[in-house]
Amino acid sequence: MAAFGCRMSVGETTDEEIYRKHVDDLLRFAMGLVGRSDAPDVVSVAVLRAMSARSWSSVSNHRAYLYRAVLNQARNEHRDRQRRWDKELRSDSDGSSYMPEYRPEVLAAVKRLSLRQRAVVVLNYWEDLPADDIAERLGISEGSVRRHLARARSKLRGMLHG
Amino acid sequence: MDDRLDSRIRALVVELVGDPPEAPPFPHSDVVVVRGDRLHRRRAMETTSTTTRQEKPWWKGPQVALGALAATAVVVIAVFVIGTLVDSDDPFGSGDGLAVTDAYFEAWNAGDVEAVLALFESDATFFDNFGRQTRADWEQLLVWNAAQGTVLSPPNCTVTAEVPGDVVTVSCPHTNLDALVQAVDGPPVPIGLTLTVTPDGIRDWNSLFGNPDFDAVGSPFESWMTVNHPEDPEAAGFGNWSSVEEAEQSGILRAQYADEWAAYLQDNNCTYLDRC
Repeated sequence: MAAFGCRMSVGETTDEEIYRKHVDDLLRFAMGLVGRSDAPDVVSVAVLRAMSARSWSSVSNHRAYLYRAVLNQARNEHRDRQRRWDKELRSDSDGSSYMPEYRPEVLAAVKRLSLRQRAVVVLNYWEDLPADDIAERLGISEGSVRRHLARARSKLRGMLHG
Repeated sequence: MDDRLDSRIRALVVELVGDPPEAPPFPHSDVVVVRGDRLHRRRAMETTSTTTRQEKPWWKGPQVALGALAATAVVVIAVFVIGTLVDSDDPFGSGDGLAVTDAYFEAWNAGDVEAVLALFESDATFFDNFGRQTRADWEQLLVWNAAQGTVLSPPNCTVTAEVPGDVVTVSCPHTNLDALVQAVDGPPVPIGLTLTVTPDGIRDWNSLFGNPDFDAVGSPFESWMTVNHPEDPEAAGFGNWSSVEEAEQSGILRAQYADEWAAYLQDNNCTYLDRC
């Protein structure tokens, strides 16, 4: 089957090239939101929806648009993910972890954060982005970024005994 | 103290995202339809794991291959029929009423406020349970919902009226899942949405929601807020805004408090119905 996506050029860059350029970063970002096992599907669906959207051809900042799409898709998965993570925490106590790569402490800490807080934490601590860059990427104000980050740090302080 | 906290958070993030799985392949298109001066496309949704996809490519499944052939035939016929019915010089044929509503829901669920607003005529009208709203008020409502991550269920849209001059009325019953409903697994709120679409965009937006359904989750949430956040009882509520920025902050707060409320209910082993 032909990769029709290659035909869908946006200016001089094809959708597939845009995808390949950002997919690794998007995948890590999604991991920070929904965990390792759900991240590939969240990225796939988010990219699919973003690039099929009517507004895609007029998007100037593809990276920011895709980050927002991943965040929104993660929200859509919110309820299912919560149930799965609850099961993981319970199963950890039974000694049969659903996702053994994550320690229960890590899951418990992340679970206390809202999706936006997770997004801001990952972008700040993994990508080392300052507040204005995070704001641009997530489409929110700088003040919101600082507020989310402060709340996340406050919650994690208790969890991590900082 | 802060440096120590930062290093611990950094270690947590490294543990969380430091070992990514294989990147999913680029989602390939399965339909490309060129109509008039616009391009419509659908992509094959590949949401199974990478491993599964590698073990069983789509073309190795005979049922899938037959299905794909049948789908291709249907698409070719559909393209031909559409091509004969729609004037290619008219960039906005009457059949595009459904395309506009599709775009509306896609942009809404992507949290893309600008894309949603771009679908409306400049003098569009907005009506809901509270009567007519100004465009500014409606924009605040949209931003508030986007900030809290409200999603709309896939609609079942049908064209209910078509007027010469490419004006169509589209009815799209769907449900609304705001931050509260998502956080505590409450009942989605049924919405009756009717859009009048002209060649210039959406002219009329009429939405009627089931108020008791909103109250089912909203009322216990407000009670919880009064007890647990008496300093901030109004901030996360509906309509207490005087600007888009205030609406955004209110939506963000609502999502945060919704998560906190859900954690509280879980910690106390009760549901939103218990008002514990």
